[in-house]
Amino acid sequence: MELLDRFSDEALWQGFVTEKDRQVLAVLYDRYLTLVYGVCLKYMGDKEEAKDAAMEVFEKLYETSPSQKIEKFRSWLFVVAKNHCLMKLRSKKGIQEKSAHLFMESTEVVHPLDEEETDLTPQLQQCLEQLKMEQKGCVEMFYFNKKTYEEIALKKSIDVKQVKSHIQNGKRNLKLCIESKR
Amino acid sequence: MSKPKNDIDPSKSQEEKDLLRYLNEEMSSKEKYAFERKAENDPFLYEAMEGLQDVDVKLLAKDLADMKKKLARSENASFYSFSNVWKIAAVVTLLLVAGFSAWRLTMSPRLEENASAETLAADSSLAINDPAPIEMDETEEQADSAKATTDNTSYQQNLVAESQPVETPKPIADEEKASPQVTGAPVAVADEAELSDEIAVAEETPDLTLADDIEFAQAEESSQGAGLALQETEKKDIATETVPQEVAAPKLSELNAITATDVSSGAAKAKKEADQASQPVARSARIATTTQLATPVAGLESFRRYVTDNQQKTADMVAGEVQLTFSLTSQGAPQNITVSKSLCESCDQEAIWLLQTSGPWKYNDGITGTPLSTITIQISN
Repeated sequence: MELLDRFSDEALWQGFVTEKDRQVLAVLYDRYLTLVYGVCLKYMGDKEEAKDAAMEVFEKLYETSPSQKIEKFRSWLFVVAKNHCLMKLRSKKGIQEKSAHLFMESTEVVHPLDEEETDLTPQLQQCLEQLKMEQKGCVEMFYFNKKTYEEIALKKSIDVKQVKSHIQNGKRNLKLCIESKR
Repeated sequence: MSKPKNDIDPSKSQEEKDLLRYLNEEMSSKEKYAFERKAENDPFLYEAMEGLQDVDVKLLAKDLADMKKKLARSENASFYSFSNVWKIAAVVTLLLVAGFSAWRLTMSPRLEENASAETLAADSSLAINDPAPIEMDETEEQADSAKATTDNTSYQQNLVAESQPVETPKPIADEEKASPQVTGAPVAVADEAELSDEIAVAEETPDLTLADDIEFAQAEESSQGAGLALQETEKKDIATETVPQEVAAPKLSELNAITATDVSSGAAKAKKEADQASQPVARSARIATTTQLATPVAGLESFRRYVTDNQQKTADMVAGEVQLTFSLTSQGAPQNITVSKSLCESCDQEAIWLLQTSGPWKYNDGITGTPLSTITIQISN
């Protein structure tokens, strides 16, 4: 097991699809169970449902066709987990709208703000000025003043969830603004 | 190494450890910010954090452990997947079929033998005894031996019936004690046959002469071959071991002597031939020694039916056996009927009536005089 721990996700996955060895898959369970459970908990909202969904995700992995090419296991597993939870939610009555909303909040493309060296270009500065006050304040404090969510929440006297929400929404609007100016 | 707080497993990946430390407020402000910044760039981590942010870390560790256990169980459970279940079922079926076949191969000879014996027992209401057991009812043990021989005779008789009349040696007082053993095999076979005959007929023959013994021995040897040789060898062995020479009487010793002479090559040859003899031949020899002296003119089957159909039951009757001794008139009518083994008065009368009204009997070919016979009638209530 320890030997297997040294391999990359992709190498382990390739080993699993070739040999169908569940021991190899178990290493990937260990690596990602917490994250998958966290994602499922976010979408399902209920612990037991999230547990079931997380385990179903890993069962799905076992049934995945070996012919399926997976470039980056981590990103692929995230999409699989998220889609599985959304499918489960969709099977429930009246959940479609909520899940669609949740799906929109997710962003998989690296945002300019998340790049290693965040240069405040004139274009970025111009778009930042166009954000709503709450969004602008939270983004500036997080990316430029290097404050944690909690510190921002304390400073702004708002909830951590609101801080995160303002940052997420601000990032999305910035991205849209930058793309519109290109 | 001291155990980390909140049951965080040190074997967990660094990311998982960081996540749990972050959730448990164990990070410095700088670490926390670095982790949040990393999460902002990693949607998987970010969404997981969002999902776990309200969870008690202690409970989270327990939930994760539960899920890992379940996943491990599901890995094992995959052994019982649909296809595997069919494989297991196929193997079990094969084992059952193989086991049953082996059992059949092992048991079939015995089953066939038992089945034939049972069939005969079911059909049979008549059995004719050989002379030897007639006087065996002096003691309980002798009676049992006689019954065993009787039972044996009944199904043997069905095999040879009236088609193989063979002269039977007359019993002599001293020889009679040895005769259940002399017949040897039949006694043993009687146990396995366990026939429930309604009627067993035994014949009591007058004294045999030496000539009769010789004739009998020769006849049996010529007709039965190796099987007879075995029997005669056994006779010799038994007589030598169990019967004192003086008590064994001249007839038995003479018979043994004759047997030994007739086999000509001696006991060793006889034994060798006997070893080579198959089971049916051996049984045939036993049948020959117990063939009846008299039979109903209408045949045994008819007599059996008559007894079964005409037995009249009264309230005071009890189940059991009545043994009658009788001889035949020149017209074949049973006469001088006496009860040699009583069951109850009504039972005895019913048995006598059945014998008297059953029709004419005849002595078998080669039987001279009017020897006494014994018939055992099974009374059922």
